[in-house]
Amino acid sequence: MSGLRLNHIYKKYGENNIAVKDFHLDIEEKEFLVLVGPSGCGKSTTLRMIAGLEDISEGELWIGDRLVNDIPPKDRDIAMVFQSYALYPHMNVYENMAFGLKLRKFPKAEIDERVKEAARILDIEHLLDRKPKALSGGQRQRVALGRAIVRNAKVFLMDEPLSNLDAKLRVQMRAEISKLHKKLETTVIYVTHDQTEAMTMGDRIVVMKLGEVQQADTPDALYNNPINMFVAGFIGSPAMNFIEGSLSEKAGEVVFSAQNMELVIPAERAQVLKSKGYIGKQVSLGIRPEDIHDEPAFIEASPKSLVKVVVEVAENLGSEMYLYLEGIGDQTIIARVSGRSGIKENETIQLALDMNKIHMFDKETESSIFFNENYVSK
Amino acid sequence: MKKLAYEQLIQQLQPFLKSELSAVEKQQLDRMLMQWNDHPSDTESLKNWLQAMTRTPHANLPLPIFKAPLFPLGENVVAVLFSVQDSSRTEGTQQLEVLLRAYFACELLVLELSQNEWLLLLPAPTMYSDGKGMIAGLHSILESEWLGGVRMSVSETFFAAERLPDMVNRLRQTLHAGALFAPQVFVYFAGEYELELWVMQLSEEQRNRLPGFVEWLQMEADAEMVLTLQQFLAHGCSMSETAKALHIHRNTLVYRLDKFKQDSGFDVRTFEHAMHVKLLLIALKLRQHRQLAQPPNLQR
Ligand SMILES: Nc1ncnc2c1ncn2[C@@H]1O[C@H](COP(=O)(O)OP(=O)(O)OP(=O)(O)O)[C@@H](O)[C@H]1O
Ligand SMILES: [Mg+2]
Repeated sequence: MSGLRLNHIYKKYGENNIAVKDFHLDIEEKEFLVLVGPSGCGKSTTLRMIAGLEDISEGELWIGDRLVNDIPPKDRDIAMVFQSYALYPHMNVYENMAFGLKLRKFPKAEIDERVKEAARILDIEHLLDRKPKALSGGQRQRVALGRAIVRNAKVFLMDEPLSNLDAKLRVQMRAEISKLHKKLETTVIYVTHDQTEAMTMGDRIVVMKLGEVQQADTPDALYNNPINMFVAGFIGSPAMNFIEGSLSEKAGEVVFSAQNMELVIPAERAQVLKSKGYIGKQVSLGIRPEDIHDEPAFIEASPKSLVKVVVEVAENLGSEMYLYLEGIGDQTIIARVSGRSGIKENETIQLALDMNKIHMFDKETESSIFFNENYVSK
Repeated sequence: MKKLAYEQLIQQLQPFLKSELSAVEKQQLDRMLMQWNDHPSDTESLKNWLQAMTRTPHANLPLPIFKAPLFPLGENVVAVLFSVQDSSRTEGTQQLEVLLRAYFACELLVLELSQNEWLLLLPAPTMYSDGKGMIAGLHSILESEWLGGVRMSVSETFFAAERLPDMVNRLRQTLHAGALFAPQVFVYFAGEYELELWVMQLSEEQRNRLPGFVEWLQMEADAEMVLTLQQFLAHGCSMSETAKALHIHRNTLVYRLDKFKQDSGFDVRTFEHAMHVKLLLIALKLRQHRQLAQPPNLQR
């Protein structure tokens, strides 16, 4: 049993400085959990409390069936993985991986066995004699992982382990860490501020803001069923568009109106808005760039959700194109269309919103009006 | 180490010896034991001297006389100060020394200055290539291998015999300032916290004369605004970098900075105002800190 339970955990550095507020979550054995959020939201602090590097101000931390609040880091059966720098510069790869065990007085034969096994898993057997200086960034990162693996820990903690690597290598190492996780069958808690990293790696993602968990769920659920505007805007790239407007009822239909646009809300969603009393109120409509369409067939089928916009910038990435659009509200709206669409800058075009994919947020609380408590992840 | 073993041996033998020895012999033995205690090792004398010099302001004690030339004193060195919150979690000075020697693989000196404070002296050339990366790596290794959370401050190169006590003071202040103003960073390089140290030395009254300080306090900027300003300054006043770090739309950032300008009169997009706001943030943090805790102990 090596799941974790964070039971209403707080980290307080004084009355007005609460770095982590009421963190409450069960982490399952073998889960790959990602903590994500903007700078200063409390990710590292949470991880450091789990590691035992910071005291827990309030609440309980359970690892397996052990309450570990007062247990020192070395006895928690966890291993930390840091950035690629954390190697002994004058030791070769073998010695780097062996040293921690040597300090803990493991027998030589066992050390040897563990180091070789880790080297095999990480595919660095041919590098065992090399010093860190003679390694590439990615290789170094693998050795740093190796130092954690030899511990045979049940829980791995990683705080932005890839932040020193260039973009290409980062993508590659992401995949490798995911693979490694499957091989080792350990619980991983991984911190990043990069939502793409979170979405591609996590079984489950915890989105934090100003010390508070906003939502903890699968990538699919965060993407399709965000609990509030913050999560909706944080997850997904390019980010979700938000358009402020008001809701009214016209000829039996619920209509969202903003500057230069009027959209008819589909019946099922209209019903939700009505029953929750949003008619006549100001709301924010959210639409993801990929849910704005330029295909003629889609446009034809969507006469009630058309918008007329001016293309300020068209960024063609080959397979897809990002359009930066003006004309709706006072904000730039981004749409993601096919790279073959042939749309040009400064053109005035017509696009259609996929009204079955829209989100709607309360203007005051910023919470999602369509949020589904019983959403089942795909 | 050797001395300790010898002492223990004599102590164990003592009851036996005493019954066998004459009065004069006993006296001689006692004197010998006393001498052992009176003559600390060279590292220990250095440590005692450093403690005395750095604890009392304006102390001026002569350097102790050493039995043998002591490693760092005649050299250019880099000093690193380590501080832990909870020393009961550490694995002790001896283990620290083992780790440091393994990490640097060169001659070095470790002094335990107090229960949770250690000083490391390294020959300066060890640090030449990628010194910051090396120190960052050391920090990670100490946290995973030795104990719980550690904070470190790192000096520039200096000539040990001349400036050691001064440097220890400076490292302590830097560490203190770092822990206060950049708590998520755990390694502080002396010289990077000059502004913070300066503000810390101003009296409350002097600080209140910083333009806008009192109004700033009355404004009670919310946590989100303070974080926004901090990040904006930390990212060299770059709009796009800051928006990225905070994961907000550029327009949202513009909106927040505009609002701040409206409320406070400071437009942080200009260099001069940005510097003012930086000072104000430091002063604000310092005041909050003083209200919560004992004033930091700053000697100089
Ligand atoms: N020792 C401390 N004393 C006071 N405040 C602290 C301390 N450590 C962290 N904080 C505060 O707690 C908050 C959360 O910090 P944390 O380092 O956990 O953020 P983070 O999410 O990891 O951010 P980043 O993405 O920048 O690494 C910050 O506002 C920080 O200033
Ligand atoms: Mg962090």
